[in-house]
Amino acid sequence: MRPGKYRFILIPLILFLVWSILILEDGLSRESGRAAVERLKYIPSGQTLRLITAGYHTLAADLLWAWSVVSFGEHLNGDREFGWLSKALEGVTALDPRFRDAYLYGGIMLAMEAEDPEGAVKLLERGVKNIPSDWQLHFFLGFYRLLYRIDPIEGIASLKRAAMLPGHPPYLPLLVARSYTKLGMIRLAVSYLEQVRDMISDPELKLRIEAQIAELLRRQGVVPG
Amino acid sequence: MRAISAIGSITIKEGIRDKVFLNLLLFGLLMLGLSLLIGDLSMGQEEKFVKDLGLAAISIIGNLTAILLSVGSLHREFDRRTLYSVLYRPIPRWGFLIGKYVGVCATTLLNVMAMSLIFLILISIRGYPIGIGMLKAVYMICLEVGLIAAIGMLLLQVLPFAPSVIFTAALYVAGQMIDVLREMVASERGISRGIIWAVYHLLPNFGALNVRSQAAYGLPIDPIYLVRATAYVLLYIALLMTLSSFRFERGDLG
Repeated sequence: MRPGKYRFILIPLILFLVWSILILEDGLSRESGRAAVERLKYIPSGQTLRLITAGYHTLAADLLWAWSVVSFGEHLNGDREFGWLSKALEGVTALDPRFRDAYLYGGIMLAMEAEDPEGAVKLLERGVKNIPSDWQLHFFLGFYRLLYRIDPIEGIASLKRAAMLPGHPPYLPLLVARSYTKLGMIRLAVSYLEQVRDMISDPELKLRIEAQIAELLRRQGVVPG
Repeated sequence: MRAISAIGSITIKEGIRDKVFLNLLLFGLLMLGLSLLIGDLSMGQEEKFVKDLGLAAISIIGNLTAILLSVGSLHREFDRRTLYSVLYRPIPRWGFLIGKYVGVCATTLLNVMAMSLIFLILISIRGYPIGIGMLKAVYMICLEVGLIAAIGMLLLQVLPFAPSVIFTAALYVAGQMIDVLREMVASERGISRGIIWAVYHLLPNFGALNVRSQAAYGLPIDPIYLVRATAYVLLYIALLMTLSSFRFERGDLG
């Protein structure tokens, strides 16, 4: 078959084949994408995952995390079905217990978008157990507990732990005191602020804390001395 | 000694010319490049992602190269009957085997070094720090491939080519799961406990050679631990090569 002679057949044929392949490929990738998300629902437990990934736990954690992030984006713009997310994040953190971002961003995904604050709290509880020196993990754990009323007292305790760790922002002790006040525990708020005031050396922050203590005491009807 | 180094250098030349070696090297470099792309999906921990994937790629490709070259190069000698022309000369059989092992190790380490060098260049271009931990992780991968090559050579003495490759890979995987066996030793009772205990102590502890995660997170890796791991691997290799030489000396080469 000489191409010159049959060009009028060859070119439409090639175009038809390319078009058909593209149509089929599009359908297949959509189907396989759906199947991949379906598979996320059946992720084995953390212990099994560690067993089957034989020595390449952190690599498997990275890939599972990347897969979860992509699937999260697809569901966020689609059916908003996030039943698989908590299991996937459990898998990621079981494979790599020091994967800080999986706790941090995973907590945000679970609490804010998947409407599963209990799942976010459980995830961050594992996070602070595995990375106890990270103030942000303690902070978010306390924040979700307070915001969603999942043991607020323990939530304040988490914020207090965050305020003791290096790198925390200066407003954190004041936030702890405010949280106590919101729960009606003004005495605890004052005593906590007094402890913080005695510990810090920053004069500007000391003044802000003094003002806060005075305000709280005034509310209780005590004249500051 | 001269004969061993001559066999070693011939094995290196053969290994480098081997298509499997080149294909694996190319695949490894592709995986390193891919690690940079996948790193962008990490949502904040790109450095950890890139280092994890890169070190895993070096380890996987290094170990595959060690398995295929160790089993393949000795199998070729049997298969093409080139072994007889070498053993016709005044070279002890064990010397031939040691020369082969040295050659396979050198070729595989060349592969690991090439991939590591390119990986370190890539991560420094990306602006990530190259800590001493990364070099320690690469060193541990070198120990891993040395041990795998010795296992492959021993298994080829007792098994055909394909089962040797499969069993060497299986031993590597089992050696990574040694923690599970340790837990089972603690929980089991009776004869099964004894069997698991024996398997646990006989299996090469590849899990202990895995410091890639610490390197990716920049966590400290104790130099004493490295010395102990080196001693463990060298002793294990000595045991395996002694068994291999014993089998090779007594075995029927026909």
